[in-house]
Amino acid sequence: MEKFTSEKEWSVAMRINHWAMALSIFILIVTGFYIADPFTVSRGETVGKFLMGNVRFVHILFGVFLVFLFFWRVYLAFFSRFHADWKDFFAWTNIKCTIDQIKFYLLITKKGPDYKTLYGPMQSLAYLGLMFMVFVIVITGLILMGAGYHAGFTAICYKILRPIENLMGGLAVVRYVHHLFTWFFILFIVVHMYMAFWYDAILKKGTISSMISGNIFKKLEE
Amino acid sequence: MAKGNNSEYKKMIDKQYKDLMKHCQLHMEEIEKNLPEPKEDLHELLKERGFSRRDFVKWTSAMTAALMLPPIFRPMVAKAAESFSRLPVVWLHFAECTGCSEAFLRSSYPNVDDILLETISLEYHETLMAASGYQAEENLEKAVKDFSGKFICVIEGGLPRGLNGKYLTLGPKGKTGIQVAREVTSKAAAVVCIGSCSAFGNIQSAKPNPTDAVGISKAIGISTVNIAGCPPNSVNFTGTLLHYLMFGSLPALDGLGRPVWAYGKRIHDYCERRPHYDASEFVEEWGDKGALKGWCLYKVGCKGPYTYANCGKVRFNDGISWPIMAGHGCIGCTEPGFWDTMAPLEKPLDEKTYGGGERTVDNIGIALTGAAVAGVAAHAIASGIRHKGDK
Amino acid sequence: MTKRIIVDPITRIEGHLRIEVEVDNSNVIKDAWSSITLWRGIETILKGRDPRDAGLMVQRFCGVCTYVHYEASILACEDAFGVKPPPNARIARNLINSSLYLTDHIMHFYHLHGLDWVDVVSALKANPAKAVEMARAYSPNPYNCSATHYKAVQDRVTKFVKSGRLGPFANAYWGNPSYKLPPEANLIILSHYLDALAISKVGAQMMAILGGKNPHPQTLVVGGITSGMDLFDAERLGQFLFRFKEMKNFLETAYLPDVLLAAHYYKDEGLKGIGGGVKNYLSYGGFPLDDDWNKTLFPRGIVKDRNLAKPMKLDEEKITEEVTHSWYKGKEAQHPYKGTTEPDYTGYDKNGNLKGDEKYTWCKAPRYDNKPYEVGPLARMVVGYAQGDKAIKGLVDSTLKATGLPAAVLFSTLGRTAARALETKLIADNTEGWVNELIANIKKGDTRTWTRCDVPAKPAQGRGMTEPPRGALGHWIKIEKGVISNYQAVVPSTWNCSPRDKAGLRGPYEESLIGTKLANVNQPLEIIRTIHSFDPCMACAVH
Ligand code: HEM
Ligand code: HEM
Ligand code: NFV
Ligand code: SF4
Ligand code: SF4
Ligand code: F3S
Ligand SMILES: [Mg+2]
Repeated sequence: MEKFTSEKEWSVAMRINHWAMALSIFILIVTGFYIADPFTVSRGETVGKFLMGNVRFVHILFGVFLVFLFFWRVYLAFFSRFHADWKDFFAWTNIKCTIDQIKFYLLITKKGPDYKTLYGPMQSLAYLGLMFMVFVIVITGLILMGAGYHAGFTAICYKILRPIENLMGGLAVVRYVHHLFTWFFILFIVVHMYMAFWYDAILKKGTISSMISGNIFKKLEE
Repeated sequence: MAKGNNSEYKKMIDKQYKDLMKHCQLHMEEIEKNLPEPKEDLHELLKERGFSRRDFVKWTSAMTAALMLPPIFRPMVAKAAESFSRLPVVWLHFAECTGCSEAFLRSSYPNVDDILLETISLEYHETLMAASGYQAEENLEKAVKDFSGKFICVIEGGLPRGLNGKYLTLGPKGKTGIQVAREVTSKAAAVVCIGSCSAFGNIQSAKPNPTDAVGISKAIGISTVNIAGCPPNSVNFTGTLLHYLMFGSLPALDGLGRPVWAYGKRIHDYCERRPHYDASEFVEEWGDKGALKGWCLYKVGCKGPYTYANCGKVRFNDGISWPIMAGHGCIGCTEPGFWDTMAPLEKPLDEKTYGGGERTVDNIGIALTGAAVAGVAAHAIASGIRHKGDK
Repeated sequence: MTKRIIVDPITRIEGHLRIEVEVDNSNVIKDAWSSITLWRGIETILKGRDPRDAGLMVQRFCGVCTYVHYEASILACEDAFGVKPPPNARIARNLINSSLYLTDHIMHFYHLHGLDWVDVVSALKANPAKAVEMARAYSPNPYNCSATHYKAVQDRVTKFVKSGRLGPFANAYWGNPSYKLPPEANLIILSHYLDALAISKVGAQMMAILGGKNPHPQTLVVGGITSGMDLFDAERLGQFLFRFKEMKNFLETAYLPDVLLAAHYYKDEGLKGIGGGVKNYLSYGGFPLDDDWNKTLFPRGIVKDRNLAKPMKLDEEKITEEVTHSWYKGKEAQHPYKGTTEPDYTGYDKNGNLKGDEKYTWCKAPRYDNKPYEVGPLARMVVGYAQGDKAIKGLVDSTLKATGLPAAVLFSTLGRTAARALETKLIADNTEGWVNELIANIKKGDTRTWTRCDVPAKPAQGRGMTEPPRGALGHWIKIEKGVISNYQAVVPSTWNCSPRDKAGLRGPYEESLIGTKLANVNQPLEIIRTIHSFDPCMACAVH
């Protein structure tokens, strides 16, 4: 009989951040797709309807929330009192370890490599990529938002970001990139959730519950 | 904000405007000294066309507001309008379609703008001038020399850079467009690009840009004010020249050289169909019920949300109409590279296709997601087999 | 000894045209070359794009005859998609086209062509009261006609002269003996020159009512038109008609009388056939009067060798373009479906002149049955006249009768200019009828503005052939995998500004200059007068 010990892996802040981000992204994808390809509400008077308006409101609300979550996550990566994990995002720089883990994922070997970092090399790559995706969608989202709201904080952000808009080739390109990245998120989610289950099933570390409880199981060496 | 602060702020603004006014007065005096006598008497012309003093006052008030100036500047706007025909203009044509000249000639009527544009002192304009050949070239040389440092160079058309510029040659000596542009603009007081061709390259620079055409600023490395549009609204052109006459400088420009007073907001922000957008009332196909009710054109490809211009506010041809009012979406004609970034013109952005046929970003996304799900499922099964019996 | 004369830029046209001629000792033109000096490559740019985008893109060929390429492209797509627009759309398109003709032809006569006939400096010497009398001889109620007004015009222009800043009138060929009008006639037309600036805005507004703006309207779509809200609005149609009547009034009280006035003083040149050019005329037919284009206001057909007794049918297969003397790759003459546009620039010779024996222009050489053809107002009137079209024949015959001139006078620079005025009248006489036809159709309860259609998934091809102001226009489109695989436009000014072909046959501009004597080689007024009579559009010709 193997023995497990439960060890704290994720701080509360990290867990709240994670699930808040997950929720926001989910809502942003749904509302985003409506904005991209809305259906017509035929019945009723124009003045009595505001579906697109509301959907955009929700999208932008959670968009701004995601901006906040993103900065918070970056803050945690550097200044978390529990574990500032920014270095862990570079686990993939250990090439041998990375290759070993690919072999493990491809079911060539039966056991993955050991690593001291919080994430394995492939995860670190995925999460780094993800952070990049969040960054891009946040920036493009802020530009799109700035184009339509002309006052206050948004306007200031927009002033700063406008050169990026011009560099990218205008709002249409910004919007397109924003849409494109939506698909990257969907792809990420599919793989990410599967890998969480897979880790649970294969390594039996309780990966899924760990994002809720904060604790992960570790096998005790005999 | 505390009341005291408020009046501080007001004082500051007041001072700013006072300075601006002083600058304006000084500049108008300069103009009277430096530029030739007005070629035409604006007030006589106005009278002849049946405009009263009151009409003119109304127009100056509207123009003052459009230029985002407080009412005290109204008399200066009037003065600038009277001086309009002093300003020598050299108008060059490069790779273009003359639609901008046409728009300029056929702006609003009957309207003060139209008379102003009519009085503009065109020292060189190939579509209108009587002289041809050597005599035309002489006129150009003379205007550039006589008004060196004082004339406004208006440019219609982009410049092909391919073949060393020889996709466009001009005049008896067969100079390239780039050569002529360099020679003339180096002597101009300011360079105004009229239309998206001279501003950003436009149609001839659409992919794959066979002649390597670009806008003036990019072709010869100078800064220009860009009255974007294909063609632009001539109001935007008049206003910019008025501003120049008043202050001796071009109005505030955005990052792409477009005057903020005219290109500061999007089509979508001014659009009369906007309530229908917010209400999710869309024209689903041409000629449907929504089309006859004036619903939003987003789903038939309107690019108003990505396009900075005031078309909806000022409209075209004396305010008669504009593309969205006429039931077709905006195609984004004031934006750089719009033939590519806004294509397909009659479909929403996410229906841009690749490699011919149907493939859109969503088709590709769905396919990739499908592949990911399938891959994941296969991996799950394979893992089940491989790790069978693991503890 | 021959002498070469270069005229570049040719002004008062659209775009960049260079004319070179060789004159003999007595200053008679012996040979001529026309060269367009800008290539933009828009046909190339269209490849790989959604066919429905082509219309708005090709519209940017030209902002002077704005709309016409848009329409031709839409027609080509409709042919390829196998769809027909509903009657409302067909009529609306005619109305937009009518507004273009009224604006464009008036603008051409006064602003682009007028100063070839009118000596502005001489106008300043005119007696305004006598000018009023003269104007009344050509129209019972001439446009803006009074001694005070004519005087005001003189004063305004005199002020330019005094200020030393003649603006557009500076340094022209004033005083050239080829100017034939008396001072009063010059003054009348000059005053209408200024009036026309304002009136052309009214025509532009007509277009904007149904087109959204002018230039470059934005309401045509494959299968129909988008401006249903304007079409079905009585007030909007009223605004259209109101403006139309203003245009028609100008046409009848200024444009037509002025052309007759000029014809009176220049008839000798017409009779001598100066500027006649190639003897073949072609029209694709324009302004459909039914949904199948079986009947068109301008008939379709050709006239060969000026043989008015033997009008011929048009065979589309015989239309080709070749590039022996054009800056493109390719050897054989090709039907537009198979056409290519690949640049092959060879430049000027060492003296800076055109290499007349080699390639010398960006303009291709369109041919019908291997022969050069003239297209445009004159061609339309000639084809219609030869076919015995009632309206055209009536109009031409009554005008000839009124002026006492024979039909042969048509084959000249003057005839070309007159034909343009006559066809404007023909269109104006029909426009109100189209509005009524539209209203009747709407009253029947037909509110269709679009016929549903989609880009064919299978390979398809189609062509759009129509008659814009400058002549026969055709667009040929090929579609594969839902996108454009080839696109070729053969444009009126391509026909007329064509260079020589393989057989050495000159194009219409070139041919029309041969034999013309220049009064003063330093003021080649006769050259630009004849060239302008075609209403050149270089952006159209090379796109
Ligand atoms: C994972 C995060 C996000 C996803 C999946 C997402 C998705 C989308 C999608 C699919 C669209 C429609 C694009 C199109 O028309 O093709 C859209 C539009 C938009 N998004 Fe996002 N978005 C996200 C984050 C954000 C953020 C962070 C912001 C702003 C702070 C934002 C602001 C906007 C705005 C302003 C629009 C345009 C709405 C309009 O103009 O009506 N989005 N988004
Ligand atoms: C099945 C449940 C899930 C589990 C067990 C899980 C687990 C994890 C773990 C362990 C990490 C790395 C920790 C970290 O870097 O914060 C992570 C990161 C992340 N997850 Fe999940 N996740 C789950 C579902 C989701 C869902 C549904 C979404 C989004 C819709 C999501 C979005 C993210 C994001 C955006 C990150 C990276 C951001 C970051 O590094 O903080 N997760 N997840
Ligand atoms: N040639 C020509 Fe056009 C006309 N009319 C077009 O088809 O002018 Ni620009
Ligand atoms: S901007 Fe448009 S209208 Fe102006 S010259 Fe260029 S193509 Fe023509
Ligand atoms: S028609 Fe275009 S600009 Fe107007 S609200 Fe709809 S999407 Fe916006
Ligand atoms: S297409 Fe151009 S004209 Fe205005 S409405 Fe759009 S910017
Ligand atoms: Mg062609």
